[in-house]
Amino acid sequence: MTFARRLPTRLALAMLGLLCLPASGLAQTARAYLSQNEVGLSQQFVLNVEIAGTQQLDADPTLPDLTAFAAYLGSGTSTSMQMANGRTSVTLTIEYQFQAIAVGTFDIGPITVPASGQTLATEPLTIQVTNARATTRRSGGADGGVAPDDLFITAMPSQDTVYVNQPVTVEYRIFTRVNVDGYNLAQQPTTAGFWAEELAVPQTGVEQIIRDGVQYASSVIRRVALFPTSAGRKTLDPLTIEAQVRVQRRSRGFFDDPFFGRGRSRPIVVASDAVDIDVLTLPAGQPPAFTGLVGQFDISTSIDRTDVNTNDALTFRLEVTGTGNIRTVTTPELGFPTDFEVYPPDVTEQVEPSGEGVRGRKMFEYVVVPRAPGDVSIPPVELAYFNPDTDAYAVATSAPINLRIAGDAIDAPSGPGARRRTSIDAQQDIRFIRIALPTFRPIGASLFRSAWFWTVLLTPLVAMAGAVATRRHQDRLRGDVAYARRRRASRVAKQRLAKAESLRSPEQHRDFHAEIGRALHGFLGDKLNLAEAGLVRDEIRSHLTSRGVANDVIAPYLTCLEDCDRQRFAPTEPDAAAMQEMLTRAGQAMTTLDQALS
Amino acid sequence: MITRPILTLTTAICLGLLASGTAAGQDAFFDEGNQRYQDGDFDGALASYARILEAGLESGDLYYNLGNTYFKRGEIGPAILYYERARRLMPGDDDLLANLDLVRQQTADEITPLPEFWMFRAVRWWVGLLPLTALAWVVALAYLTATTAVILLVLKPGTPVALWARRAAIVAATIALVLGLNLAVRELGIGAPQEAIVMATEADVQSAPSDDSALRIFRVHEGAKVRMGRRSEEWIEIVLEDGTVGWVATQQLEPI
Repeated sequence: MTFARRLPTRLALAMLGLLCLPASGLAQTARAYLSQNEVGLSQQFVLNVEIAGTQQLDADPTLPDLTAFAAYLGSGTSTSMQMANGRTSVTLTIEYQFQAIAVGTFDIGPITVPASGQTLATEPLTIQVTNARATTRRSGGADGGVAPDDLFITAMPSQDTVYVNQPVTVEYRIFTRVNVDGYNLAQQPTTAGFWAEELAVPQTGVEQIIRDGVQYASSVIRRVALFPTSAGRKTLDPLTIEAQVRVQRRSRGFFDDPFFGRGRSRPIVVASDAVDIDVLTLPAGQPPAFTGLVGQFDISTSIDRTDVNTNDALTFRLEVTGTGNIRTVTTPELGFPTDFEVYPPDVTEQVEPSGEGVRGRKMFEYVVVPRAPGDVSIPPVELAYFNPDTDAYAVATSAPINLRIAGDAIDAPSGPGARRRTSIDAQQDIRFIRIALPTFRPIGASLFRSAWFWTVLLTPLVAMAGAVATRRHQDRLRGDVAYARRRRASRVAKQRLAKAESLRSPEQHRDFHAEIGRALHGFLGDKLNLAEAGLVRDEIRSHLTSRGVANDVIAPYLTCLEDCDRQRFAPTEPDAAAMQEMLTRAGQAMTTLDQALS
Repeated sequence: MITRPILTLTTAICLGLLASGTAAGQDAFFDEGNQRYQDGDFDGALASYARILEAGLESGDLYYNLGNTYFKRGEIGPAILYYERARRLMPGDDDLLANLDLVRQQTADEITPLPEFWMFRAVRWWVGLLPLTALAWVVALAYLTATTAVILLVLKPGTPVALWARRAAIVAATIALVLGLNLAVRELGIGAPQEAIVMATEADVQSAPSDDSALRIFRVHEGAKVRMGRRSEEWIEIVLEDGTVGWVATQQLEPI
């Protein structure tokens, strides 16, 4: 763009340099002026820079930054020569075409023009951009002969309210009353928010159209189908062209004779108006299979053979035809049985830009290989779409296909694209918490500190010890008289003492003492396993001494025994106190002896 | 004379039963924690579970649930810590090992454990084969069977009963001995290393117990399991699972 803009300027400057050599002595001035000081929003205006008396421009004029309120459209250069009083003056005018894009009053700073080693600067300008559209409709610029109504472009949308994905056709037409040699698109309007499909321009050529009572030559310069991708109010930027217009100079100079004017064509930049399109969201109630298709569609399926053997390759075709955004048809979901190996499809699409919108077909060609025999039905394929004509959703359905497959089942090889039963794709997550109540135990608790443990450990041990003791006791009782007598010695002695106690009266003192004597004798006999009858004092003493019994234990025992014998035969009756003392002494003697013997 | 030891024993048993009876109050907290966990209130679940711990009670399932809760809160270090604690109480638990494995994958450090001598692995497998409670029951039953059989043998020698008692005693005693050894190893913690989990997001590992940055060898991150060795004031010697040794500040670790 930059190059295209600069080239004519440079060329013109070079020519000027040649032409203006004789005028080298003239003062150089630069002047800037606007085509109009007040311009409507979106309308065009021209910033002219007129340099008089130049010989050469060292560089293109430097324009201040106008992007805040104006969009640059293009530039053109014109020169004029005037001869007055024998002096030739040369004026170079550079026209910058702008479109106002913001409302307000703006200053255009000085424009600097480097020429012949000097830097010329223009006076600053002020421009007012208003909302008033109608006041200056399509300003063609202040250049001679081309009024705004002489040359303009219209943008005609087929409708200004559409659904998302429903195409709107915009037709750009050029209207002219001047001779246009040709044009080129200076600025393609951006189609943000749309998916654009260029349509063929009808080859009708130039038509004569009466518009507002004026006859124009008109022709279509561009047709485009736009598919809005989202809902809301969308604005299409203007389309700008640079037309080569054959013009005649305004001045009545010699060179303005039509004869000279011939072939003088100058570029005029014109732009269409911006177009607003309201995009509606699709109504609710979309079928589950809906993927955003809007238009009218049909779906059909076919297969090359219906009687096949396993492992034969089949070609399955699926074709979607219709008008609408056919290019966005996605690969449909096929309900092939899992015994089929389905390879990725070969997709072809043919889109013909038709008069209204886009018509076309999209074909999916699958190679499928049956791996198991049997009668198989390939279920219908469904395609859901929204029909804007009826404002309703519709589902196109293909006919089911029945296949007869003969042969043996074959294990599917793991070829590329082979369809497999999907394995469970487990998500990575932890397993669930425990819900059942656990048995809590004290922290740091050890089995060895629990009562249970020691109970379970020790009770059987105690029981075992008891069992062993019982067993040994029984064994001794059974085979060991001495043991048996010793075991019962205390018991028998106690019984005898008890009996003696019951005889404790002065009348029965003989029996009393006899019983105590028997108890003492019997106890000793049982303890030592001796015959009681043969026991005399010396024998007792020697037996006890040999068992290591101390003398001070033996002595009281023998004394007690002697006292008993003496009292048995004593003539006097002892008193009750003496008898009680006797009983106590016998008991003590036996206890001490028992302790000494055990 | 004989009645006194029996009395003491009965008292001890009653006390033991009482101790286990206090768990009834904790069941409510456990249920409450589970409910909160299921409702997605992980902070609340944590608070409920913590009350059981504050009461001085523990259980493998409780630690497992705590590990899950911390994981859901995105705290990898505590999650691993509680899983490891649960593992001490229920070493072979399938869910526990699966979760622990998953959480370990999210730790920053990839530590390849040293290959272990197969016999140690076999022994560890054997020791952890049965849950502790089941093990204790089996040992107790075998022990009681063996002692009963011995008592019968002692009391009724030479009878057909004694013949069977003899066989039963041999079998039961063998079981009680083998599994009893197992139980003793588990309960006394024989051969179990003192381990800890790194709690700090990043911990500097020094070559000596000192803050000097020149001594830094490497860094470990939250969730890494280390074996604890010697201690020196605020510092502790750690051994990583791959055998690397170094010193870290004690407060960056939490013993299992």
